[in-house]
Amino acid sequence: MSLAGRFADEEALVTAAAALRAVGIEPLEFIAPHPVERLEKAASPVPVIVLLAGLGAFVASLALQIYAAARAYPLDIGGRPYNSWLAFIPTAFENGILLAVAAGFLSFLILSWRDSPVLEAPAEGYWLAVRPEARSALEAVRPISIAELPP
Amino acid sequence: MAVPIADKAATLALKPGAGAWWWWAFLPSLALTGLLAVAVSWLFARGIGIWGNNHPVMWAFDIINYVWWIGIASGGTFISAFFFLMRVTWRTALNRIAESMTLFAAACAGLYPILHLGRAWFAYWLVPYPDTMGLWPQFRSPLLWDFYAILTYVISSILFWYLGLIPDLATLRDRAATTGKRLLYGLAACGFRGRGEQWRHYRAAYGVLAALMAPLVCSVHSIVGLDFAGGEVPGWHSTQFPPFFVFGAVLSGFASVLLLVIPLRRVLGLDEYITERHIEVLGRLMLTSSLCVGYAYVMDAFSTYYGGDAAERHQFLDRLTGIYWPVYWSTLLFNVVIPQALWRRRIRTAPAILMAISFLVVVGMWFERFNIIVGSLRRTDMPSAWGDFHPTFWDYATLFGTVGLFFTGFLVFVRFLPVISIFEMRELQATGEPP
Repeated sequence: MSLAGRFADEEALVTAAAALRAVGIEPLEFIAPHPVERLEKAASPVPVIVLLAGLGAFVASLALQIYAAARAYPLDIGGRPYNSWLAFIPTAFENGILLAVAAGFLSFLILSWRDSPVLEAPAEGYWLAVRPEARSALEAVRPISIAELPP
Repeated sequence: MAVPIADKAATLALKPGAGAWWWWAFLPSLALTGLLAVAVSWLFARGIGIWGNNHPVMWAFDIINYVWWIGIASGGTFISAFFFLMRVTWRTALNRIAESMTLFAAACAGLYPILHLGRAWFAYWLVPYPDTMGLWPQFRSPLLWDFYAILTYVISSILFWYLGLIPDLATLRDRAATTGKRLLYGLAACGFRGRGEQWRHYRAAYGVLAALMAPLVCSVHSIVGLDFAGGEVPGWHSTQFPPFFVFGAVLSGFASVLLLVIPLRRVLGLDEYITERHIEVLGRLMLTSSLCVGYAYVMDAFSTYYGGDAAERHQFLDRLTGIYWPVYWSTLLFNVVIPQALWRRRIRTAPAILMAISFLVVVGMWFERFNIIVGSLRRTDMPSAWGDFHPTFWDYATLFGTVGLFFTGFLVFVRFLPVISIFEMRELQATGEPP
């Protein structure tokens, strides 16, 4: 179980989180109707995953095309080089983007399904969740109301 | 602001019955979709002989409609991805409508490459797979690049649109009155709760996807241009085609966004969120892209005469004065001349006039592709291979059938999903900026 205090807006939420940290209490989680960049603890790994997936798909696609055109089924078209890799870049680019977008979407889903100390969040409004022991500290930062969240 | 956006957009999506206007729009669209189903079934049964395409005009409505729809689709991606990256605030009220337009337009476009194959059931030959004869697709061909571009564009547009919807689906789940709706919206929301951890990954994922969609939309239209530039047909074989196609795509894209937004804000009562400012900005964008297209038309004429190729010159003269001269001159009139009225602020803020101009632009862009495709193929290098094109009933049935398919999908979206991004509007309101 955890406790959540409701705040009026983003500004009040950020101020309250700072006040709690000042007295040595790390909020478990915040809940908001939109992203609050100032409360993010670290950069998300999603961009790195997307970069790796995109580059990986680009290289793999280029390699497959070169293999197909120069090794598996070389076709002489007017004496042009078998490995005409410049012509393979558009397809490799599109394949890279496709895999990057899919990786971005899936990594967001998987990362946001991860276990969290706060699973059931209130539906609307700005909330700050703390451990039940920290009730007095939460009350001290003057939330509009306090709710008990199921574990 | 009188009504918070979350209440307005969520109520619109959750209310039990659709308005009369919705049925008046939906039923004709559904009927046209039925016509498309008939046309496609007949096509699969009889083959592409039911269309007017024949030697030498082997590409006609199929490719015109394909390029037209994929161009319309681009408008939504530009608004949602480019202007997101530039942190433009006016985008927020429009991006959901624009992106949904992209989704259904791209779906309509995606049909045509499959339909025009003739033997559609061999479409999987475009994919490299280990077949028994050791054959591979021709990776050097722009037509194959096009397949990968469309595939990537359709799938990425769906994922980007859906990612943008997830927080709003969570809001709808929390507000739905019936268990059935709560279950459906809840499943679609993928467990999104608005927790800090989720927002952290969400913000990163959305930003990166926007950064991928922006170059993707340019590459897709460039590759569509290369489909033509890669062919040695007078009027096609030109290095300006990739940017020319991107210009044309955004022009028709912005015009289509206006065509949808102006009536929607009226019937849904969204004037408070989609304001005169949004309409005016879209008018400016349409003017800018119209000037770009005008430049491309001038360069088209210039390179024809500067290049000095007799077949090119003859083909160009045929566009200007041949039997299709009304199509060529209407293209110029609708896409370049009439949009010049948008220099005046009074015109940019008059919804009815803006809608009329947008409609003409959308028609004009279809004409432009007719010129490029039919106009070029009917006058190739060899006079012995000249010929004409006569569209059949099934050509028109497929064209208007996809218009029906587009509106059917779009109206279902308008009915059941929030037409304005709730969480982005809340974020904008939290920072105190005007929508």
